[in-house]
Amino acid sequence: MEARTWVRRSLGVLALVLALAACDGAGEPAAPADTDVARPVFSGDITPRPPVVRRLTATQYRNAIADLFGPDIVPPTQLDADLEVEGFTGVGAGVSAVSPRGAELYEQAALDVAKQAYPDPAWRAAYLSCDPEGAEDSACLTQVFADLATRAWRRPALSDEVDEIAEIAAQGIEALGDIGTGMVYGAAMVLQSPEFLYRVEAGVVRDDGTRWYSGHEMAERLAFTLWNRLPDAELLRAAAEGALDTEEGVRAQAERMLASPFAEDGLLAFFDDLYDLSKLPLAAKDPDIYPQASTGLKDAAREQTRRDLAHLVFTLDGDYRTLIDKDWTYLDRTLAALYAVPAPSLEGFALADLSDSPGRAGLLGQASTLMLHAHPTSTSATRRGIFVRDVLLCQVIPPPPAGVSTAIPEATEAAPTRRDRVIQHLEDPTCAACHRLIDPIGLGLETYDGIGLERETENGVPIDASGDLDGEAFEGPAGLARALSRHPNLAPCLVEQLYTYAQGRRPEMGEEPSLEYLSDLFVWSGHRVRGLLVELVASEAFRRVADPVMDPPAGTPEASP
Amino acid sequence: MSRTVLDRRTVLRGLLGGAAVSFALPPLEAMMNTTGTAWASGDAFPTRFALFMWGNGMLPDRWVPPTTGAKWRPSDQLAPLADLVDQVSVVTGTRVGVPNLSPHFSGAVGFLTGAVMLDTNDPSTYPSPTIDQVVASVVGGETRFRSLEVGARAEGGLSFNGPFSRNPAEEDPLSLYRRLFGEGFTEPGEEPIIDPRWALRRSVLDAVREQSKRLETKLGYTDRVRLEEHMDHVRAIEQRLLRLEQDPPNLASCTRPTEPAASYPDVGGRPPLREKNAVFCELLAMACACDQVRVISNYVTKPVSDVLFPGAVGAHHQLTHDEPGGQPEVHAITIQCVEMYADMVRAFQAIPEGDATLLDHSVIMGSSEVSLGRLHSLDEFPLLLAGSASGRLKQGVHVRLPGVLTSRAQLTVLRAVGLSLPSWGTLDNTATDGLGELEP
Repeated sequence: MEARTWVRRSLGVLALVLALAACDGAGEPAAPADTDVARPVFSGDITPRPPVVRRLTATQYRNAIADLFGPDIVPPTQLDADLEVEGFTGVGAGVSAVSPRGAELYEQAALDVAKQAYPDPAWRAAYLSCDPEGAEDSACLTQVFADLATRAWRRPALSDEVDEIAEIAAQGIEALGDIGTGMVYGAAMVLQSPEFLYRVEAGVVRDDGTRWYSGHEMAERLAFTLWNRLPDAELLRAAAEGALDTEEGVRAQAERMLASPFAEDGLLAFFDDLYDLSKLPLAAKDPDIYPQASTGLKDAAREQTRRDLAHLVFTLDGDYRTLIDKDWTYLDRTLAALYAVPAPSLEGFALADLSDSPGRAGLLGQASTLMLHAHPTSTSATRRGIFVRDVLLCQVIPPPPAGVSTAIPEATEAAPTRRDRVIQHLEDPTCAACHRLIDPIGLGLETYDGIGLERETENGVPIDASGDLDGEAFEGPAGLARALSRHPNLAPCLVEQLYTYAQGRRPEMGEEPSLEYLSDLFVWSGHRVRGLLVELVASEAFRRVADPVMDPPAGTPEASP
Repeated sequence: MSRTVLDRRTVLRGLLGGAAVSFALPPLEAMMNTTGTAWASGDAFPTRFALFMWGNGMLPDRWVPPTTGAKWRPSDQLAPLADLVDQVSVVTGTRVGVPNLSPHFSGAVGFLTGAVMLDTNDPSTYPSPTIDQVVASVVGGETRFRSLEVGARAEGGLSFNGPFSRNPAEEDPLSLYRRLFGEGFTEPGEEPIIDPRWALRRSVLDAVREQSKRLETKLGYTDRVRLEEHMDHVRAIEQRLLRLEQDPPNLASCTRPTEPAASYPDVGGRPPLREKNAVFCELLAMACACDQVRVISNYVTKPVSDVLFPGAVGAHHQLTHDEPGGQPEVHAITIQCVEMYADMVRAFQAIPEGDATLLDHSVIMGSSEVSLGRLHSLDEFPLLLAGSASGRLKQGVHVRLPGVLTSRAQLTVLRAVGLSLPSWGTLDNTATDGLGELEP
């Protein structure tokens, strides 16, 4: 745990160095790629870490089902809930254990999915390379399940494995007297296999003694990172041909994959996880206080942020920092009403120009952020500030000590606004050490209420939304967005978060050179996230791995006899 | 599964995360030694363990009953138990003796495992199994389900097998109903139908476990243990399928309950917690009456829950911190939590078993993760105990023991449901003696 904290904290310092080196003046865009600034080169050593064995997340499972059985199959609605660790379900996937209930749900899901497919002759005709004539048609059964297992397990299925699956299917056909219904049980084995449910990427040792992910392991790493789904035939082919053993080969596949519509799924899996967008439906809002709050509004708010991200990264291939202070956004009529601007389209979402409402279109002014980081009945300067520090700047703020009253006083005539009420956080030395870093940021967003409606006053008193972000004074949400978009931690923090998502764990000691290099490249390229994705998956840090740790963790007592 | 495997794994869970260790090996060893013999023989009805947890604590000033002993007079906050004072024992004044480093979570981990959090930044790092799973590890193998976890607004619940290993709580009553009383459930007297698909499913599960063994050789130690654990659950499903083919238990009170509603929509932006909880409690009580399970936990709301309770002007957690004065809003919410506990007690009381009721053959332990929410206090911890655990627990008394460890009361309960543990809790929170005050 300490190592992780060390890296995250040290990145702050690192980021400052980077910013000074890379920028001509604070806040100016970095030198674009086409000037004569040299492309950064990697220096230092790679310290590979032991493999992380990840379970498929619930979304990855559902995407994989669509990959294997087609879009018409209804995916399972209930699976073991993803566990969030270090802020990422993608990290939780590498440590969480399957619960007894989870194993039940995997069985149920496998059967439910297979029952929709195999008994249907039309489905069989469309998806199977042959249609078995009966239990004794082992040639066809073997072929069909070899195809399925190879795709589902992301590696060529071995003949004895396939024989076993075909045997189960044959048993099923005999016992139930129906070919399609019997085959369900062969598929159920493939889908409950740990080869499907876990990503086991252990690497292979090359002649020089270094350990690298195998071609098929790289195919699966690329597919889940960039698409959040199974490798396609092209990736499996590249793996089999050895093309994924080289940096150029990986780069070529990454470029191909990022041009696919699936790339949005990968990018949004990361940002959904990072920004907790999937938790929006659970963000309670009291309808007595916020009559406009509704499931529809929450869904629209999530969709807005997702569309903005996809547009910025894939359509514009724009500067990541503009996410914070841009003046365009996607809106539908629900959100346009909340923002009190004309709807850009009568139906669905469309791009809107919000240059007349500064601060509104950037990430911090969006309803999703404002609703998630607030209370059900009020705003929360603290929660909004922690979001910026922790998620956007990678500055971890510890929780308040237990046994300390975290109450903030009621509004009174003498102290009508939130700023007046939280002032205690800043005066009490126990609280101030952290709250000095948090509250001023959140207070800069006080002109937006707990669901994101704009307001000028609170309890009849004008709101003061001025503040200071690490030395840069700002005025209101627009000023805060400008200050934050220039913050030296912003870019390296995104690199660290993306690295965490891709590796399924926080960076550890010894990985600083890779993070520095990726941050340098990101800045040098003009903060292009699309390019960062390519550099990340092509980097040695993503392609190399250490030996699995075969011994029990130090201090594990001997098993009792 | 062999004893060695379980021990090794249980021990590992205590150590994951590299924390210097506050792990109670002796009690768990002892617990293993009692497997199979833990239940008192001679009693026709098994003893059940139930846990009821709500989030964000209570108000100690208005919680403690004004009289002690039998026929205790309900305090303001325990008013919903007025007609249950003979069934419910209240323990007040005790404290959870762990360092209170992480608001809410130190208390949750301390109360539920007796131990100290492994990582104060991560609420999912339970150092060892929670109390429900400790009981289930001894008695869970006897029934179709090892344990069941539910909660009207559980948001995951607090049942853990160890670090990062949660038994997620069911939030949908209909889904619980189908799992319990759908395919595979046979009412007493009904002729069980042997479905040929069960044997096929067992072949599939068996093949999965075989393949898993081959994969294990590629894995590091921790992941190997993780996968073995998963495969233990797969094996449990196989065993359950076998059980389906046998005769169901012949229990007089066992019937298939009414199918619950498909959804429980919010009313005025507020989930109908009590209604949903009541449905859960009836399903759980019947699951016990049908001996499908003997260990259940019900996480109505979670620590730090910001759910909007019916009638409340604000979110629960926020109110515990921001409401000034005597906190009448928090008080009203606590009463709702106690009402839902009372509903669970009544659901168990409503089912006759022999000359007594299901409640008499159960203990329903009610608590939260803190006492005074405003300060995340672990002193004056709330503890409600309904039922007599088949006569091994004193029912209907108020026991006031300021400063005594709550873990002593928990040890008494664990022993009452049949576990022969030398102690409960670790470090300063270790109890080696139970509470004589709770013994009949």
